[in-house]
Amino acid sequence: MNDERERTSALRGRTVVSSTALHRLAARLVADTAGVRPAQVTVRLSDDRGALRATVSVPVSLAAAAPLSQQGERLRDALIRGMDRLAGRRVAAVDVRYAGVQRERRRVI
Amino acid sequence: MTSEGNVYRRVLRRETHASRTAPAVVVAAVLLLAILAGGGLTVWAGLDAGGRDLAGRVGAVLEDAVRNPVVLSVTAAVAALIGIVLLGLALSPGRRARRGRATGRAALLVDDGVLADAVAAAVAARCGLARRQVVVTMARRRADVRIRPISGVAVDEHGAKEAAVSALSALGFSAPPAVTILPQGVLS
Repeated sequence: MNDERERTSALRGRTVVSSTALHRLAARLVADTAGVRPAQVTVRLSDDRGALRATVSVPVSLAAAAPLSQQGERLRDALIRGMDRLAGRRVAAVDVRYAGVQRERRRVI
Repeated sequence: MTSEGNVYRRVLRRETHASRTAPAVVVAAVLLLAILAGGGLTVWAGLDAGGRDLAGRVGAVLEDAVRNPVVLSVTAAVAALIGIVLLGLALSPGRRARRGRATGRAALLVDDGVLADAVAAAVAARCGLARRQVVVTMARRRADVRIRPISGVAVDEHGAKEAAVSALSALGFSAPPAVTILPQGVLS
């Protein structure tokens, strides 16, 4: 009984991250990594057998020198790591779709 | 135990099992009516011409019915159905979704739904989930706990089991929980 009380007091309340917040966070992570404005990024999150699956649509930034396949890999990595670090969510898969081109590099912070 | 204990045991049994009084009364009443009608008709037919007439007509109708295979088979089917229902009522344990226990001074009778709610609340609190993500149904000797996880967040299955056990034992009941984590999660 005593043991029980200790355990519940350690877990008082719960932290909720809303779906909107998750989408915004993911869009920001992608935008920061790709060097584009967050408004140009669309992220759709869905459930993939208990884990998250992100479908990202992002414009190609001409300021970045790396080939697209490498950029995509970087995006994937950044999103998986950022979601784990900031929201505590495991992202199992990231689908990156490049759509459109952004000419100048503008960072909005 | 004292006589109090016996009373408690009887009351608990009565409250946790369905009463068969209603079907028994219905069956008895129907049989009684049929016997009375048959007897009354026989007596009336023996005393009076009108009664003999009515008895003759009833007999004709019955004879027609016996000759007609459709009426016969429908009657047989209905009778079989009633028989099966009555057999089921007589032989099934007839447990209600409640469980009871008696301590030295008090008897406790709890609806399964109440226990299930208590377990679900405890599991949700332990796993940091919303209450609606946990569904608990109480089986006879088992608590089925189904958890819909948050996408990308692992569920502490062991903790959920522990929470269910402790919630039940706090109320004085024991039903080993069977925890299922649903494959499809929700975003938040």
